[in-house]
Amino acid sequence: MSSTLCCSFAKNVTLRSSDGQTFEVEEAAAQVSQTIKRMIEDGCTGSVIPVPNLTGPVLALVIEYFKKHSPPSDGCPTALLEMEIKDWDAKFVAVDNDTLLDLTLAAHYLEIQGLLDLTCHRVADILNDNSVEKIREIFHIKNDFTPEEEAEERSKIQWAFE
Amino acid sequence: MKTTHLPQELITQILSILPIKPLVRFQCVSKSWFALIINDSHFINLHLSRSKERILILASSEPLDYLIVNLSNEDRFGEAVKIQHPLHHSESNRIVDSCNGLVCINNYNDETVIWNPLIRKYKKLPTKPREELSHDHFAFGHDRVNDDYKVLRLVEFYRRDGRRKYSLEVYSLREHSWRMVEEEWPIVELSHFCYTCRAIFSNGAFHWMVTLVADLKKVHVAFDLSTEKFRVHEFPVNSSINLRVFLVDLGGWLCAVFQDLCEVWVMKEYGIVSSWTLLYAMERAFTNYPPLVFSRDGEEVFTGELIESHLMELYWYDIKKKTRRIVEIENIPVDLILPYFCVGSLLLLDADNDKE
Repeated sequence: MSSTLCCSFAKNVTLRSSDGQTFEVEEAAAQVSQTIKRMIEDGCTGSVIPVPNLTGPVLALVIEYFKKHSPPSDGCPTALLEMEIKDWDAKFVAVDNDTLLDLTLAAHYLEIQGLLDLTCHRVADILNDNSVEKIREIFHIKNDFTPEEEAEERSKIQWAFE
Repeated sequence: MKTTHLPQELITQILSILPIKPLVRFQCVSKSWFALIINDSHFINLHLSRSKERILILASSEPLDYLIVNLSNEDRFGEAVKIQHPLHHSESNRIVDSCNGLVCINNYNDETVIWNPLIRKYKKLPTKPREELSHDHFAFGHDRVNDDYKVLRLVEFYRRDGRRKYSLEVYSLREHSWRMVEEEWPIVELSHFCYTCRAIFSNGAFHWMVTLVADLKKVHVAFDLSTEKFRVHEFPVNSSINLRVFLVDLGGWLCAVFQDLCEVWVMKEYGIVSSWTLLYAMERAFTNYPPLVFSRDGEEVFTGELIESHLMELYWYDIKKKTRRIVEIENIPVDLILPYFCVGSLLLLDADNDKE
């Protein structure tokens, strides 16, 4: 069977985001997500698959990832293709911090291991170079130390701030 | 404005891949991050298992200084940086061993510490005064079953009749105390318990290579850190030749270095005597400088040799191609003592340096 013929027969599924937007995507591509794969196997393909944890814009991004990472119809991925995907991945996660956290969460909910590794490493890279104050801002964390407590802790590990 | 909060599980995953320095800083982010980074042994072990930070810890003899060298770039090591060390009576300081980012050092004032040089924290062990007419042998490693770090003190007593007696004590980091171990040192008739046959920690046990008095046969003695029992293994070498051989741990494998044969053997299946296999041979003799660590791709080992009385040449040795790649380390002391390999680890971050 030629790949063209294969693709023309590809089955599609419809995904619906928390805010009611629907997206059509090839079934094989959507199965990059273990969560969706299980739903398809359980026979959810006939109707729309709800993805209640993701808003439309985030789901749209995730679908871009699905398309890039769906298994090639003609067998093994080549080294060249793998390199191209790696470059694409790096650009894919070069987004603002909130979008990056949304993508991390989406990868977690939808069990997309590749995307989860990618986003976690990207978040870690960002954390690496940032101050304590900036970390609180990025993660929306409230500082529950009193100023005295924080000053005391900092004084013990002064070298880590140099 | 919409805000995204990551669940704790994801925060743990992300923080577990960070290097030591930012993590130490981030204990100031909030109380829950503080508890995670300082106290959560699950997190600390997860971080350790993923740690990519690799350093060498070096000591110089006169004056005694400890230095660390960053190995993250295998082609170009960082410069050797002096670090403050915890034992102030610095004479006759030595490294007992290193394990999971912790380094155990002691001196002849009978002071011993377990130290995490990268995070500058240490724990002083209760002092054990030395017994008369005896010699202390120390060993340091990790008890995997109880997730505890232990120091073994093997006291060798010299008796008037020329025979020796041994007593054993184990320090547990969890309990922060010493206790006697009832086990008997299994081999009394050994020819000598020389300085070079120090205990090697590998695969959850301490290992010694000892030579028997009767026939100069080599025997491999192991002390399991979880069961605190000895095992004695045959060592399959031709006993008619008095070969110089010492044990090392290389990337989690127990290896035997044959100085005269220029060979390194590996116990492929740990604990199985028949599984000793030649790992590699070198074209010229080793000094008593063991291979320290594998390169990330596993093709090369980091080692070195004394080329002049005080000059050490350090290099990566490709075990298949048999080629060497010399590594220059800036600021390296000329009177370098045996370096140890260490990983970046958060262990002991909760230690209070000044408390005994």
